[in-house]
Amino acid sequence: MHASFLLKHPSSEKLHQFVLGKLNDADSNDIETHLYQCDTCIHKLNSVEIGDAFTCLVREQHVENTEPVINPAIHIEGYEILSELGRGGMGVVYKAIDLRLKRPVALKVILNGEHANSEQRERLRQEAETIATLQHLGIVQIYEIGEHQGHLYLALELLDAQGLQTVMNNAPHPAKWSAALIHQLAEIIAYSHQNGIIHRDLKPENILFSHPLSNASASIAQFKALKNALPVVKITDFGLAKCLSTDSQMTKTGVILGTPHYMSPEQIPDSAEKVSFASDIYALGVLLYQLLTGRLPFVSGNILQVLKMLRDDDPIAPRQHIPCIPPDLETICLKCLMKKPADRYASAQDLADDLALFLQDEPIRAKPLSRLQRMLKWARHKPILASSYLIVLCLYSLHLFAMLVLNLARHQGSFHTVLTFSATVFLALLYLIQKMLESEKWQNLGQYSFMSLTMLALTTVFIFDAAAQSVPINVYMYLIMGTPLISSRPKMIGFQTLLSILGYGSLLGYAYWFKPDLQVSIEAAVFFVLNLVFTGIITYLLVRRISFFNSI
Amino acid sequence: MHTTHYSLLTKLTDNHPQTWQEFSLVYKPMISNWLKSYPLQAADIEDLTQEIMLFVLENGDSFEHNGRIGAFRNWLRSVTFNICRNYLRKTKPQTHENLTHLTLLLEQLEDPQSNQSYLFNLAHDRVIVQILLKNLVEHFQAETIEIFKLHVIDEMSAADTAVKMNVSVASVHVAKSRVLRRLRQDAEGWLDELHLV
Repeated sequence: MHASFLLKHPSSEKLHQFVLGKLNDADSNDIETHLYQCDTCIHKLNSVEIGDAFTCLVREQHVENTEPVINPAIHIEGYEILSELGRGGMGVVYKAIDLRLKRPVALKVILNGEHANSEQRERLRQEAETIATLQHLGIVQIYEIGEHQGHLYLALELLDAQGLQTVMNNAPHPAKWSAALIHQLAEIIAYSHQNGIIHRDLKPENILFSHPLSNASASIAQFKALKNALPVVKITDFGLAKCLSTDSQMTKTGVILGTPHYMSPEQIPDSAEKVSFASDIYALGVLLYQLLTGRLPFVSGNILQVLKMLRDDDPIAPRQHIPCIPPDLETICLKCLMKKPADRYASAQDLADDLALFLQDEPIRAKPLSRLQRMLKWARHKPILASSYLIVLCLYSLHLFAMLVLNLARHQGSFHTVLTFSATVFLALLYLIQKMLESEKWQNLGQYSFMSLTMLALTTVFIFDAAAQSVPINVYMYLIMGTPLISSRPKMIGFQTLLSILGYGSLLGYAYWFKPDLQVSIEAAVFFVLNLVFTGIITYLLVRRISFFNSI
Repeated sequence: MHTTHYSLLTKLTDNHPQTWQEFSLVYKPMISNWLKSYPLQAADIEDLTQEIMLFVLENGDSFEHNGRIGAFRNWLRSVTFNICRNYLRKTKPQTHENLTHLTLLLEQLEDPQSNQSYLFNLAHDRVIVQILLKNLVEHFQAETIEIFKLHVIDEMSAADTAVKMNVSVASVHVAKSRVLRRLRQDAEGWLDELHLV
């Protein structure tokens, strides 16, 4: 090339760097421009071997990662593949025709074909075995498991109808219709449970109608169909199902990777409860809730938030969304959604029976929570508020007892007024603080306010009780020890210790200036302050030790 | 649609479900493959993988990339190590032999200089490269990526690639250089220096 004479050739080293992509933008651009005009350099480049570690990593990775996805023109002997129905993490489902029996089937083929690892193949085999043990009109049937040219496949019953997902359409459905549908599903699941199989992945996508529905959702005719003995819904996808007799240990498998909305609280990995039949009952409860209200029990764009709600919160009662839902059906639904498996229906059959009673307008067996149960539940959700209320009530009753029954002089008059006043203000403010503790934004401030308020109320009472030297001041120490119950941050323990010292200091100040007759000895005061400091340090060390054990 | 790894993690800390799916898609197989090298039952591997992924999801926001090479990788390794060790405390594997073997492997995983750690890092780096390769679509035209694949991955000569793709030989070299430069830039901070020199 003529122009190349005018240009200076880059050094071999530079060319090498260029081809490895190691030069900066400016240098690379220069060489690019040069290359288009210089055959000599191109020639040089042709002979450069690139074998650096990075390129090797890329090369090896890419080769490993080329997806040998089944060719669309895949041929499986005996079947004619018509179209692709869906694709999951593990396999593709095709709509196909069984050429021998001339019937349509759903072919589930492992995605990676010959390259599928043994685990995937094992899973598909297990799914086939699971379905094969379940002979029920409400469960999608398996026709064949086979292998063709390394592709392991299942031939399943093909349903030419919509899934529950499309039928649901995020809208509330008539109560009876919803109850009848869940009744059918509960019967099917009860059958599966009787055979020792837990589905573990019940969700609208896995529930198919066995015949096409009219698009006008949930009409009377469909309800009649649901009242028939024959199921109109079928459950599919037993890919995550577990057989109790073969698995000694239940696992909390990967549902979380999909949607956590139908997952039961015990399926959260760190849950103490075991996954059991009750997990399927929970999922049925979610489906019923969704059918009745048109929304999920726990909704948030943030998965962690959903998991947190699943663990800690109670769902909003369906009747609060849609007041016309029959109370009995709400009771059934909420019983399925109980956090503890033991609080739900004992079996899917029990659920089906209760739904049947509801459908026949007879009284159901499940009872709504009693007042006491509701109170206990409330206390579990607002522990700080509940325990503070309880403590204040106990102390106040003690005071009333001392004042009215024992007629103790120090409990009469101004002390009674101050105590009543601080207790009332304290309880009212606590309610506000509880609101702060519930919101993520104000939680920190809520914790600080709670601690300060407690200290203020306590010290006020002590001052009026002239308690600088009496036994109740030990409460200052208990408060420090109790801090980790509110927050385990070391800062908080320090803050509470400081508050306690300040509180005790005010008692001493008050005694010194206004009640000299109390005669608090300096020795006792210093000793008590030291006690507070030591309590703070020991509590801090304990918390640190515990969090160390937790972290490992 | 695909983000670079760095922003994938930044978004992960916002707990966006979509990002979490993307993240799990690449990291779950890596962790579960890694655990398969341990003498564990399939069910335990699933549980452990799940637990590790959930821990990353829950604590992703506490992880801050300090700009040091392999910071995330080291974090992930220590998460894996800690969760496995916890598991070992809670559940005893069936045989004494398995227990000893597993303890030994975990001890090695704790030590950043060990062979186990090297293998873990390699497995991780492969995941990163996988993400980077997916990202190429965002930066290059399909033709450029195809040239890169033929010439660099399939090791076809520059001349043959040029003929096949109907471009000049210079274009082949330019494409190769550009793609590798992009990959290196994106990989910075995530891969071992060993792999970048």
